Amino acid sequence: MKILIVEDEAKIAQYIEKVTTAILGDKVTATKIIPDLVSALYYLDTHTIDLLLLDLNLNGEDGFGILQELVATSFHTIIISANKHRAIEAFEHGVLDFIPKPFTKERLQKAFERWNLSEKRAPHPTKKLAIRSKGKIKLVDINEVLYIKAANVYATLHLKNGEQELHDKSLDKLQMILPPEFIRIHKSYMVDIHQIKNILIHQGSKYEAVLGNEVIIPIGRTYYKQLKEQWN
Amino acid sequence: MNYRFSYLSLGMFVAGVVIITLLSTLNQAPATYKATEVRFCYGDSLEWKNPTYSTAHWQRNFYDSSGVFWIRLVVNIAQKPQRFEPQGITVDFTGVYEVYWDGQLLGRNYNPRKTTRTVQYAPLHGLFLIPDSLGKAGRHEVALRVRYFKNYGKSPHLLESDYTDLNVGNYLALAQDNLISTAYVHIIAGVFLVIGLYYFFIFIVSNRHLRFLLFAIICMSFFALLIVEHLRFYYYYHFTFHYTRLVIIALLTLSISVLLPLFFMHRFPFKYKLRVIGAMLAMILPIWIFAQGIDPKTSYTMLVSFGVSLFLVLRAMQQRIEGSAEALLGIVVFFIAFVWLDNYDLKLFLGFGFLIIFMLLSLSIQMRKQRQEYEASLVHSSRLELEILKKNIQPHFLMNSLTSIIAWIDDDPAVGTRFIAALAEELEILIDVSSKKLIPLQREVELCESYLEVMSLRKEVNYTLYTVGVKPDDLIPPALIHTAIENGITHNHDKDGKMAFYLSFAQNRYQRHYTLMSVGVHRKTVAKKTGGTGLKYMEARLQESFPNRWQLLSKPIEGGWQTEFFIYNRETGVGSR
Repeated sequence: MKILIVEDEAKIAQYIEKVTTAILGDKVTATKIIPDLVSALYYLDTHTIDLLLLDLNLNGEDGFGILQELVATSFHTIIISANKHRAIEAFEHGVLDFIPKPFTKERLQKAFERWNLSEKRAPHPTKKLAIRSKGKIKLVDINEVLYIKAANVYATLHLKNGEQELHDKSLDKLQMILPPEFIRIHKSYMVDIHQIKNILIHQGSKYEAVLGNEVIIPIGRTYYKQLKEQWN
Repeated sequence: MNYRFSYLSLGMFVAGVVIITLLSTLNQAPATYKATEVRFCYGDSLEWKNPTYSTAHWQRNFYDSSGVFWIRLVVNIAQKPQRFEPQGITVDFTGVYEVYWDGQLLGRNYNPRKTTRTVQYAPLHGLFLIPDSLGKAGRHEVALRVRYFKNYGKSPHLLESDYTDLNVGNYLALAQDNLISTAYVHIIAGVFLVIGLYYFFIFIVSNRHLRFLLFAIICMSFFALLIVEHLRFYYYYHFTFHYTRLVIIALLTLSISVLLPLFFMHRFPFKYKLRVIGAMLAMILPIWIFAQGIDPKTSYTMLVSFGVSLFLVLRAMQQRIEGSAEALLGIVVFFIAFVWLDNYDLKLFLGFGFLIIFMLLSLSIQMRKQRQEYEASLVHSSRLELEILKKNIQPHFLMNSLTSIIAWIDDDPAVGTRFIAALAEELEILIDVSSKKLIPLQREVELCESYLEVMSLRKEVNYTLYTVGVKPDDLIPPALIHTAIENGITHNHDKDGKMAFYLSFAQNRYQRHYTLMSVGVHRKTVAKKTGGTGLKYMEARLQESFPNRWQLLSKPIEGGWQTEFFIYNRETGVGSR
């Protein structure tokens, strides 16, 4: 697991690195500290990472400006910042967690636990999903999403208007930042529960969900029981 | 600008109009009888005093004023006088004369033992008692035997000019009425004297705005005008002084007429002062050349002055300047007084009086505004203080420092402790200086050094401040250099773990000049910068302590960032970056 720490305060960056390595132990294969956004973006272009720990105010530079670009990527972002009042805004952009400064080892540990356990969700779900498309960032409102299908390590967003968008994050990672209405009904499918109009039961324990636009998607056998409880 | 039309001014306006209306109706009833059938004859004969002597062949119009001559006229007492109410006659005449009533000598305005040439004192105003037996209702023949006459009026209607007048009526009323009205006028005159002195003192002592001086002069001119105007009713001066008095009145009116628009131009900012005054004088000049008599001259002059003032005030109202509505009301009241009232004295007295009252109201409104601005500036100063504290105790600075302390305590508790001490020292100096307008440079350097120690521990960069030629006791606004250093760190990063700041000072007869150079590598950025509050803070502090005589330059240079402060000894109107 590769972790990038973007932090302009040298001592704090060292401390984050130290604590992260202590908590995650052998899971961490590599860490990198970068003090400014320009170098960080350059680094991300040439390297793949699994987790970004980001300070939002880097020597007077407002990290919010490029946050959209960062959350459109395949990796998760955790913000570590002194500007507590911008936490909600960060969550709405789709970050996994927001750790206010000053922080303790325990607080950092909690964030990593959330990251480790896929079932855990972010404390505030995102409202829009940022998508990288043809070199530009496009924002998709969560309410426009009908269902999401896994596509290899990515995910395809099927929108209500029939269009499709490819997101760089996997279905597991998206589930962590999406609102709780989005539930897993299949290994490869996630849907807004309010969009399910009907459930079809076929022979041989085969189930299907009928959605708003008469779209039919499969329901996994293992997920059926839980869905039925929530759906009514 | 906040624009208000207060109930107070509205109330004053209504009161003014009511008073003018009341006086315009009260003033109608004539209390005295005037002369009719005025005729002249040059020469001298005591026979001409007799009412039976026919003056049918005498001249109707008067042109010459040399030598001895007689004036005969008729006064008709229309209403039968009450019993035991003696009748009297007043004569205002710029000459030496004796007066006959139905052939009886009533009196003279000179000492008869002197000859015409040796008469020292002949009052303009004469009041004579008419014997009971002669003061009956009906037609009476009056004769004036004029031994000497100085003709100022050049008017064919001798007894109806600015200089001469003749009235017959109740003796007591003739003696008292003018004195009573003069008493009231003097009360008002006193008020204007006090107001004038008050604004004069305000101008001298505290507020060197020209409008206060102008207003003081206007008030005191008005005071002088009222006094000179009513002088004749209690000081029975020699007739030659009358002309002088009228000239004084005319000049006072002229000066008020010019000062009034000037005042409005200073009260409500107006650019083309000279042009307006020039245009106004161009209008007044023909009036003074062509208008006959003192009263029309002054009346029209005042009308011009008020027209110009009206223009200025309407312009101010359009710009919504506070107090302009009050000024407009004053001018409206003046026009009402001018149109409704017949008596020149009343026109002047009420029209001007109310105008000055409204100007006073307008000035007090402005003073209220100035006081509010002053209070706002106090708030502004404390806001700055808050700004600097907020910036440093703001989340970014304080929280990052605290996080670094946690990191240091985990790593090396001894450094952590040192860090806490450095942070405490910086905050202590900051809290101490932020409430001050100016602090010695020495203190500022201490603040910067403790700040750099904190930053060194945070960033693990060796920050150093070098000073060149600075005077430890030179006074500068607090946290000025501190903020410039912060900017330096924001714009540059270290080179090989080191970053130096050079503060240099130069001074000559005209200015003080501080330069802070941050030596480092310019940072590359992608996102927009937050704040810009540092620069705003420095500008605000400089403007607060050195209004309009400073300059701030902040720019990247080869190998770093440079911030310069220029503080000039004299106002240059720069005050910018």
